[in-house]
Amino acid sequence: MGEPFNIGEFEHVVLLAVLRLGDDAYAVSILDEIERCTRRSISRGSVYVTLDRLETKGFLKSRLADPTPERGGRAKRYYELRPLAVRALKDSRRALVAMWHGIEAVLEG
Amino acid sequence: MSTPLPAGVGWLLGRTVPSDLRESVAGDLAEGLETRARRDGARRARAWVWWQAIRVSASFATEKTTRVRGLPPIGEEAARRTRLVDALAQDVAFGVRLLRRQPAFALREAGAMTLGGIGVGVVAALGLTRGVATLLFGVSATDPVVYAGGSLLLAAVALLAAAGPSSRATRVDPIAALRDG
Repeated sequence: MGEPFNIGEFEHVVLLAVLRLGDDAYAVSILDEIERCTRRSISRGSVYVTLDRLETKGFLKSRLADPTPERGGRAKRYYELRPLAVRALKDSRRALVAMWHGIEAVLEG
Repeated sequence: MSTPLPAGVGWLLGRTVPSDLRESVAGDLAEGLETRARRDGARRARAWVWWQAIRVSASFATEKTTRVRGLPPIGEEAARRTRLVDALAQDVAFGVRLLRRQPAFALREAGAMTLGGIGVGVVAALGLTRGVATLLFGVSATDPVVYAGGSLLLAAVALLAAAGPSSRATRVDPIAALRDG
C-alpha cells in the first residue's frame, strides 16, 4: 500500500475544479465553479492561497497568459493538474468509494 | 477603457500577496471591478474591490503566519480564520453605519456608561462616609447637594469628552474604517 497523499478537503475541491474547467482554470473561474457545485460561499483569498500551496506541493503548474485590456493590462494565471494530482485524486476517490460501500442505504433511510 | 484599481488596493496587495501572484490577483480584481462598475455603478464597485482586497490580504497573511509557526497548512483552517476576519470587519462596518445613521448613538452610549459610573460611585461614597466624616468641617458626609453637584459635574465632563469623538465618527467613510482598522 502506497503512502497516502496529504491533501485537505478544500485542496481536494480545488483540484477537482481545476480538472473540471480544463483550459479555462484560473482563480475566478475556479471560485465560480466551486460555488456553483458546492452551493457554498467561498472566500477568494482561500482559493488563491490554496492554489499557491498546491503548486508549491507539486500538484499544480501554472502559466501566465497574455495581458488583456479589461484586466488593466494584467495577465491571467491559468492552472493545470500535474500527474501527482491525478494520482492523489484517484487514490482519494478509491478510498471514499470503499468507505461509502454498503452504507448508502443507512444514510438514505 | 477599463476602470483602474484604486491606488490603495495596489499598495495593499503589494504588501501581502507574493510577488509572483501579484499581477494575476490584481488582474482578477480589475476584471471584477470593471464588471461591477458597469452593473452596479462605480461607488459600489469600488467598495467591492476594497472588500475583496482586504479579504485576500487577510488570507495571505494568515497563510504566512501558519507557515512561519510550522503549523500544518490546512485550507479549512485558513478559511476559518478568514471568516473570523470577515466577521470582525463586518462588525466594524456595522458600527460605522450605525453611527452615521444615528449621530446621537455614541452620546447615548456614553450617557449610559456615565450614569452607571455615577451610580456605582455614589453607592461607594456612601459606604465610605464613616471613614471621612471626622475629617470634614461645616459639611455633612452625606450632604445631598454635594453628591448631586459632584455627579452633575462628572456627567458634564464625560458627555463633553464623548461629543468630539461622536461627531467625528459620524463623518467616517465605512470603507476607510475597514481599510485603516
